[in-house]
Parts: sequence; C-alpha cells; structure tokens
Amino acid sequence: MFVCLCGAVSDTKIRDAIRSGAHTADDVGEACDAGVQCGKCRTMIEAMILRELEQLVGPGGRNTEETPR
Amino acid sequence: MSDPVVGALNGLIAVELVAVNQYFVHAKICQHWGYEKLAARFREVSIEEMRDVEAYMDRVLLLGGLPNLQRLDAFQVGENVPEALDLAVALEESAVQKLKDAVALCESVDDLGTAALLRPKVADEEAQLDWLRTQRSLIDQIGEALYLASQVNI
Repeated sequence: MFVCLCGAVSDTKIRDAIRSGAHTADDVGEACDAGVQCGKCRTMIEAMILRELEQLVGPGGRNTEETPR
Repeated sequence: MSDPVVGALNGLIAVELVAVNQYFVHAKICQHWGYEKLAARFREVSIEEMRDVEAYMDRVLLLGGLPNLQRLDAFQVGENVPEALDLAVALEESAVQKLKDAVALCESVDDLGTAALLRPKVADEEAQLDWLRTQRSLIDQIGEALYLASQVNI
C-alpha cells in the first residue's frame, strides 16, 4: 500500500529502506523520499521503523534469532 | 470553555473527511484498473460520507460552534483491491467506534438531539462495514481473480 501519498512511496519501499539501515524518519526520507513533503505519514513511518527494528533485534533489544539457553 | 459535543462532532467530521478522500481515490483507481462495479460502489460511499459531513456541520453550527474542515488525518492507499478493501474495513471500524463514543458523550450531557442524529449513522456505518467484510470474505472463498472478474463491466 502507499504510505506516503505525496511521493507515492509504498510500505514495501519504506521497509526496504529500513532494512538497509534507515533507522529514523529522516533517514527513510533520504533513502526513498517518503515523508519529506507534508509529513503526515511520518507517524506511520516511525511506527514501521519500530516494528522492523523489534523484528530484527526483538523487543527490548534481545535478538529473536538467538538460540535460547 | 469548548463544548464537548462540538468537539466530538468536529472529530467525526475529521474521520468522515478521511473517508470521503480514501473512498474517492480508491474509486478512481479501481475505475482506472477496470473494476467498474467496485469503483461505482466506492464513489457512491464517498459521496454518502460527504453528506454525513454536511449533517455534522449543520449540527455544529446549530450548537453555536465552528465546523472544522481543516483537519485531514493521514491515510493509506491500496496497491491492489484486497488492500483497498482492508484499508476501508480499518477505516469503518474506527468510524463506528468514534460514532458510538460520540453517542455516549451526547447522552451523558443530555444532548438527545445530537444523539438522535448520530444513532442511525452507527447502523449505516455498520452496514457498510459488513458489506466490506463480505467482499473480503468473497475473495477468500472464490479467489482474487474470480472476484476481480466479477467487478468488471464486460
């Protein structure tokens, strides 16, 4: 779906940018032009960053891929 | 002190304005894709939501407030029909909840006139939500391709 309507940027592109290292809304804007015009979608972009980072490292910073002891 | 009922009505206007725009953009996109039947439905709903905005504006003015049409919250646009339907379901769920909250508020301050205006809207939005969920269920039952074929006017 399109998250940033000003730049016609989809959730897929935003997620790709986050996975490639864009970990703030400004970074995402620089990487794929999302959220840089009216800024209304920035709240959603920030929520997507949190969700992606949590999936990457697990809630509270714990890596979910780590083998439990 | 600001009137809580006027605040609630302006909150509903904000929700409806998102609905007007989200349905209208999906109507035009579906038309562009060739799904004329779905496009016609989305367009019709968009215009119905605009009529709701008008009714809420009239009520705000009657209560001595100023209708706020300036607030337009962010919304998303589907890249395909199932996404457009999912976004509409989420929108209607939020609209139904906000309407119920507004009815409860109106009754708590004894504004039965506004409550009477809003009550039938709850049923209208629930009917729309039910229709959307049925479309989503049809896609699951008969498959996306068959569902999309049923939306083409040929």
